[in-house]
Amino acid sequence: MNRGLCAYAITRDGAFESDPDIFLLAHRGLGLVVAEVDLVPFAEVDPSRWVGEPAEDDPLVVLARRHDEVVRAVFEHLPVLPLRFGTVLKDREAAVALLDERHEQASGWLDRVEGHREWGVRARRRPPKDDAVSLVGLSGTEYLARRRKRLNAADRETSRANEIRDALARHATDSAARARRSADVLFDTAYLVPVERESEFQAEVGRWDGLEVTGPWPPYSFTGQELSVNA
Amino acid sequence: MPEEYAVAPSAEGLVDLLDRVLEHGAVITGDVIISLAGIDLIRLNLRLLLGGIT
Repeated sequence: MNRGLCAYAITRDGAFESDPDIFLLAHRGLGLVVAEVDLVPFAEVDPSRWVGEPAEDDPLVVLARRHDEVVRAVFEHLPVLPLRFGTVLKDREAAVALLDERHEQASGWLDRVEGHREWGVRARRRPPKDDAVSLVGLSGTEYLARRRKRLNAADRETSRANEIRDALARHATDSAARARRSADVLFDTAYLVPVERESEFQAEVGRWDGLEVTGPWPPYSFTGQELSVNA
Repeated sequence: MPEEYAVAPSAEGLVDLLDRVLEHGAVITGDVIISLAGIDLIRLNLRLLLGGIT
């Protein structure tokens, strides 16, 4: 079997603009965004060949960008529940069964995220000023003093992180901690922000030094759920 | 809806994207799904590659 029904997102039954191969299977007011796809490229991706970060022309990157483009095209017009990359359904009956059995769960989720966009905010640790100084060769007292200073600096970074996150969360409906990709990241948090409060949220971001912001994103980081179908 | 980025998509932006698209998103389970053997392997590899400190 080399073809399947690739599913990108659940949304409401409505109109959006996308490529001609993308279509909406509607059932009871919900819609599943799908395309008939060739499954061979999915089988051919091989991240074990990557050295460091993947290249833009890597087959997996191309497929992942495609997934994101489709989700975004819908997201411009309708609330979306993004589905995990690589979700392939057997046929249209399977799609209808999904929308039927998980109607309440999906509708509730769409209600919650409607009118919101996700923003990612990342802060990095500020290196302690004496970081380059070696602790080797210091006297016991000097060593302990230096070490206490570093621990205090680490505590201050943790309080700073909490303070920033609390301040940002006041402008958001929800927030989700994201996995930190390197040790110098102090925190990496996604915020689900109502569109009408985005300017306040951005202003709050601007009040803090050195925050890295990405977005707007469809609400990917708030989709931690399973839709189980027993058709 | 504007599609501007507050910060231009960078190499790091690609990692942010891959993380969101491949690691997040609602999961459908049950016999309506065609399981792609390679996809779970991708996730495992990607996690190793991109790192991640919890």
